[in-house]
Amino acid sequence: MLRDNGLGLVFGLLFLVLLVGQAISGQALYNDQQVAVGADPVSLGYYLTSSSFAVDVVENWQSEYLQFFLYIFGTVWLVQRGSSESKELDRIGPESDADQLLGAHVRDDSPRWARAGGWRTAVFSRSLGIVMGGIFVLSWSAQSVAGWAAFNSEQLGDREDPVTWLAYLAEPDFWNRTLQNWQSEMLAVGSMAVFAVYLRQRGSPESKPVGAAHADTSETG
Amino acid sequence: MSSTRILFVTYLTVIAVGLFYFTLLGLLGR
Repeated sequence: MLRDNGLGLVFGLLFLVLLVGQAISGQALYNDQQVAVGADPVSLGYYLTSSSFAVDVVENWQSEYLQFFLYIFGTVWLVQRGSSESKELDRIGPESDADQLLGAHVRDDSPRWARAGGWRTAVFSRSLGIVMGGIFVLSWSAQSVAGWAAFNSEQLGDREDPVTWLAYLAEPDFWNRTLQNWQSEMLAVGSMAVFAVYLRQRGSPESKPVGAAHADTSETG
Repeated sequence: MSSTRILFVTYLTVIAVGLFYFTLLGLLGR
């Protein structure tokens, strides 16, 4: 059971450990800034319930889910010759029912919503994109709300007027937090798709077999 | 429920609770 779920368990545990690390280093940074302006340092409990911690967490969440959403959706319609991250060049689009094991091609062990037809199959056919895109939208909106509160508490500390949520959406703080995360995700996705043409990782499903030709598209090892 | 399905539901729950919590912190203006 542990071995069967290695990816999900190991990355889930790493997430928790690293979130604790972020909380501890974030509190230390927050308190450095407090001391610099002559304010009292705060407890870990205070920091964990602050919008400053919240915005630092969710600004990274939103960009990761945007990355995966765009990758899931983009790889339906865009291909990359020679890349294990791409499907074959002649399969652009949502593909046929035969390819997707739908309609007359469903199997006995196909998921219930794949067999159901109608709106349920339409929803299930897009469920991965819907969930990843939904988490992106919700985490980006959480970033906007938490970033707004954190921005206003800094404004008050600097004896400046707080801004409305809508006004915050036009602030450089919101867009700098957003775009500094987005740019890195696009670089990583684009380079991964192209690197996978010429580079190999033996045993990884993210790579072609080591001996596969550079021109082979959509072969995973 | 299979162990894999428990993992699936756990991830969804952690993300949903996290999004709710972090949005709430912003709305409360902490």
